[in-house]
Amino acid sequence: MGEQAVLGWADIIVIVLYLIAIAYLGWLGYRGTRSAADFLVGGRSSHPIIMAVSYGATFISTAAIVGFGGVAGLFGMSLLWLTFLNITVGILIAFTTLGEPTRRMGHRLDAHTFAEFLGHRYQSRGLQIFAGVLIFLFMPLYSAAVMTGGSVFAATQFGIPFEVALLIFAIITAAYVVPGGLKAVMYTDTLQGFVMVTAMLFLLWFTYSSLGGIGAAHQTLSEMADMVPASLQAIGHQGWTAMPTFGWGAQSYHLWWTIITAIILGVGIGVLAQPQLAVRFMTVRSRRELDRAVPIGAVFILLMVGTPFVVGSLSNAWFIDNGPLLHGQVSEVINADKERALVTLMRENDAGAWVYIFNEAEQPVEVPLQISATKQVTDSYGLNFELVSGRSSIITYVRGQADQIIPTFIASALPHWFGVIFFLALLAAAMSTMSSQFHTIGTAAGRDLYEQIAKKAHGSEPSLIVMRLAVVAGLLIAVLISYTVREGYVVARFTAIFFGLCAASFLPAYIAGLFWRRVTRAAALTSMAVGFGVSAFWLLFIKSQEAGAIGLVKLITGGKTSLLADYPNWPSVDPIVIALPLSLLTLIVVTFFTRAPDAEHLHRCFDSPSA
Amino acid sequence: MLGLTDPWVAAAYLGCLLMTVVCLIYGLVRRNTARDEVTAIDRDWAMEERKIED
Repeated sequence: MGEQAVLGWADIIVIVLYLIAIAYLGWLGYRGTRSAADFLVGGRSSHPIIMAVSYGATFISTAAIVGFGGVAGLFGMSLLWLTFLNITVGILIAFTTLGEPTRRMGHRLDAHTFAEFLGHRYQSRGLQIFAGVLIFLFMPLYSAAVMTGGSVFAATQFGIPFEVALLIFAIITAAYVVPGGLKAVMYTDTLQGFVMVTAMLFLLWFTYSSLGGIGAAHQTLSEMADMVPASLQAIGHQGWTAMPTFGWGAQSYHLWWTIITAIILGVGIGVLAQPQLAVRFMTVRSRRELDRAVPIGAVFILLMVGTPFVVGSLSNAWFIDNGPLLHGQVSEVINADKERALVTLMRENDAGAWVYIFNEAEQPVEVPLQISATKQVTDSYGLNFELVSGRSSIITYVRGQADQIIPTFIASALPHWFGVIFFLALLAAAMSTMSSQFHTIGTAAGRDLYEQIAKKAHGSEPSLIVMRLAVVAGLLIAVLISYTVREGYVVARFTAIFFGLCAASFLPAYIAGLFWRRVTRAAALTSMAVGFGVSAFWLLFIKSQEAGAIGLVKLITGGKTSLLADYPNWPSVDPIVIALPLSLLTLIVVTFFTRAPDAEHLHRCFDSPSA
Repeated sequence: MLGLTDPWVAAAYLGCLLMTVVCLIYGLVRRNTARDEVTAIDRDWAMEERKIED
């Protein structure tokens, strides 16, 4: 559903104007000052708006907008806790607590990648290589999330097959990142940021006003709690404006543990240890620039993450009022006063008789419906029955595929020209994020792995070739992942896995490296190994959604999707909840059992004169 | 509140707005507090960074 005519004249004009603006800014950038490093070299200050918005544009992508917005459409506004953490942790704490120490130490130690930062801080080539390997291997998962998000949107908006959209997306990305477009040109990033902000403001205004205002829209959604599909109610979904049921030891608490541990904590905390974001602090000129970026960053994140979560949830209310009519036979009354019922869906066949619609498991499809009309019709056996017509939540229309929710809502509810603008905003978001992802993949392979293992000088010719090859390899892997895995809410899940892995592996060593002089090389290494090892074990053998998809656990247990499949809630707990505390504990314990680092190195890290 | 029946969800909704206001106030109060100077170490780092980007 939601397929539209491909492109009209107005759409083409909008796209051409946008491309001209991007090309003009790109040309301006390439003529002179272009990246954050150029601003620093030139001794000039980039405007705090440019710094904050380009940081935000790196952080926010189609993964957040389409992926997590879709998850909000499925599970509701409890996801706003993630927005809360994104602002509090990702902006306020990150900028005010981690930003300046990272910048100063990074400059003192002459570190240019996240792995190099850790390697130099702990005087360990092995640690740099280990971190480089993790980033190189797992970053493509996050890139795949961004690519899937963009491709699903393009496929829905322009009515093309997903595979075609993915191919186009991959070609555009390759053209952008492979020939040396790795450099984050801050002006284009900023324009892309503004396009994203404008699109989000319009989307938010449109959604609220089409549902009668903020209070009325929320009220309508609150009153729809009984329209939640039975499969979601069974795992604790209590409506789109309510938290899931909290508790431990029963299937009905599954959703709470998924939302809180995997989506909110995994991503909300994981952002602190994102390699490509930590490195951005080093490109900042001073503490003052960081301070000034805080308010702009907060407003940007509020709009970019808050809007899709609110709109994703409210799309359920819009569809129940305005969605296409569905037809069927009542199988169970949900609420007689509000004319809501569980309905077995039917369609009219070519002979004019009404027949059941079957799902992939050959079962009749049963959905909650807000009934708006009834009439007497005949079935394929010529028998009369009462056919009801009505509308349902967006979950019904996208067949439970969360990644389709935002694209379907925009294609159905908003004017087509807005879909085009939104697509450009998404493309912008995807490109700014992917350029920094692939830059990180390239430098991880070239600077952290090749140069360290082969002991080559920085920036040597072979190292540049390795970087470029790594970018191409990363891109191919990401496309392959996007092509292969599309079930469930993969965009959000891939993002959460990557963020969680980064947090468990890097966060204790990174933060201790910034603030704790006593912490040792052995402690950092073991903490990273424990964080990664426990996360990997948990993903392979315990967390059923991932373990089941990978399949190793099924071989061992004879078909179960988790080693703890018989203990409810354990299989939905995210690795971050187990791995991060263990990795932190390891860091502290090993530090006290190993020799303190030498004073001269600590002086270089913490005390040598700098800004 | 605001049509949101669950206080935890209302708290998240308002919490997002409140934290944004806190960030706005922080930026306003501290906009000129910290020093803004580029040292030789900063400049050396940026020269090296530019080489990597190119």
